[in-house]
Amino acid sequence: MIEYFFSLVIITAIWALLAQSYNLSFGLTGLFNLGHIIFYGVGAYTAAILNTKYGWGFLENIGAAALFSGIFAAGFGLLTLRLSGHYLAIATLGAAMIASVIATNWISLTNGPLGIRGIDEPEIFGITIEADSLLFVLLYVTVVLLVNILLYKLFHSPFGRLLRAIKDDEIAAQAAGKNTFKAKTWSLILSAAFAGIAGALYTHYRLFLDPTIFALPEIIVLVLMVVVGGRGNFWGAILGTILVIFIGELPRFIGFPDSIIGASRNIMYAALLIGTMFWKPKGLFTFFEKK
Amino acid sequence: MSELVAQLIWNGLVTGALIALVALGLTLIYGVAGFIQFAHGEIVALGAYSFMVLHKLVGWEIVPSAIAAVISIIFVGLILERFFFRPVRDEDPMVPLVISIGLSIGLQAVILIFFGPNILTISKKTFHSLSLFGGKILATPSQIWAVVLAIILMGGTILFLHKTKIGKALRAVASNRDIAEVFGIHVNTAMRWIFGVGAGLAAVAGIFLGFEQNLEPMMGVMIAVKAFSAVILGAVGSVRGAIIGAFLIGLSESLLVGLGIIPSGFTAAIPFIILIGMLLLKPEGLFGKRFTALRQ
Repeated sequence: MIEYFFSLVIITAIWALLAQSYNLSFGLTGLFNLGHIIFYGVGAYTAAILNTKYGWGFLENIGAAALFSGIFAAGFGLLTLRLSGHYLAIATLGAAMIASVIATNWISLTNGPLGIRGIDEPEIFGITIEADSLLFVLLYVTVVLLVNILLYKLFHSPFGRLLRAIKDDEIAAQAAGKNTFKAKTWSLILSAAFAGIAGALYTHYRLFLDPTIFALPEIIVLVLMVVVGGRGNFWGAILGTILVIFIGELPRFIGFPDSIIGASRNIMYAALLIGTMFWKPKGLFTFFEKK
Repeated sequence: MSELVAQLIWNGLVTGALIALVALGLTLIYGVAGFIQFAHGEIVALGAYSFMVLHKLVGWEIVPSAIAAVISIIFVGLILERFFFRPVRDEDPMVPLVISIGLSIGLQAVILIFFGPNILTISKKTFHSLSLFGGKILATPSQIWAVVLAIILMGGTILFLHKTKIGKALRAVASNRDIAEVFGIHVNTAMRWIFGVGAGLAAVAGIFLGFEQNLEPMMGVMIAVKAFSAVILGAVGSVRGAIIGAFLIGLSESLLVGLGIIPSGFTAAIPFIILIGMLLLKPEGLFGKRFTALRQ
């Protein structure tokens, strides 16, 4: 039972980091990028490949995943950030599909649909940390907290305010002499680097990785977390993550038969998403804000 | 060789015709209501399932079950418009779009609960031999009907938009909702028409898709995603652009894989490779400058 609780905390921590990284580009800057899951997947694959082929450890992999996802995002941004609105959404959704196809077919690198097995558990200062142990929870929560503090600073820095200005009115931001393309690209790069870290965390927790990491349901869950909490709101993404993971576990608690757990979870996600949009289109976190 | 090419062109035409029917509804909804309807693929799936229920379980003939299926899906479209999209019509376009994402996963789950994860089929394929595109090809009757009916429906939609009073009203709403309202056009009526027509076209596509492939809850996702690409390829909101984009995607998918230019594992990526390539060369869409929203 305690292990189940630990595993929930670990999963929530990983998703909280991923959702917060998405909140930076999608929420704060307003880039409607439906391909964010690519950076998570790139980070996860970077960690898995470096670990299984070259024996890199947990901490190096986190750095490598952040770096590689960030570099990847720089190229991705140059290709897609000239687009905006719905064009950007569909082009990036397409990019996620292409990523999935590449991960499935580039067998020599990713082992295709069979996936990568035999990834090592995290090792810090020579101590191997087993999954679902208290130490593991502490490690992951610490990493996620540190990155979230960094993100909090970023959200409330002058750069963060520039990103918010771009979302509200890009032309006005340009008129104020800001290079908005550069700012948007940096927002995407940073957001991707943090998503890459989340990917590396995922890899070293699950110890198995296959191309379903790029799948459409994952993209929808990510959108759900950020939109339900409140786009561009730092605490909103955290609230959204906790709420979505809690609701996702409900069918199991209630004791629905296995055959409809997935379907009933999706119906609850749909109700949460649609309910939020009707009731609090700016996100549920607006509850806690002063008038 | 020419036999193969002719067959591939035919297959591409069939796929293109189905994508075009879906893309037509999407582009109309985008043009008039201003957002991409992510649940459009699930309307396609509902069309296929309701036809399957009437034809195989109730045992009606093909034509009456198809007509009944299309009519019931038009009602589904109207219900979605009334209860999910009308209340948020004046919000940021992100709001209806996010709602449609919610509807998409919700409807998939509903189909899964009702019909289970099992793969269902509508009918066995019977092929006819035809001479077309300089070679003998094999085609099923449903494929021939799909292409013929799709062309009729596409022409019909264009005529409807340009020659009827309602069609002109729809274009007026697409061009400027507020001014159209000032001139006495009922925006509610326009929205009903657009969602009804869109759902009807998607249902037709769904019925034919049910003859081409197996029925499963996520069957609408792939064709919807291809239709999104077609819509963007031809510039969002343009009717002719979406049709041309759909056939471009259908034909290139069939020819590139069939002739071995791209390995078959990469089939799912082709629409997006074309799309992203095009967006880099011409970000305003293939026909962005010439065919602006719903005017041509």
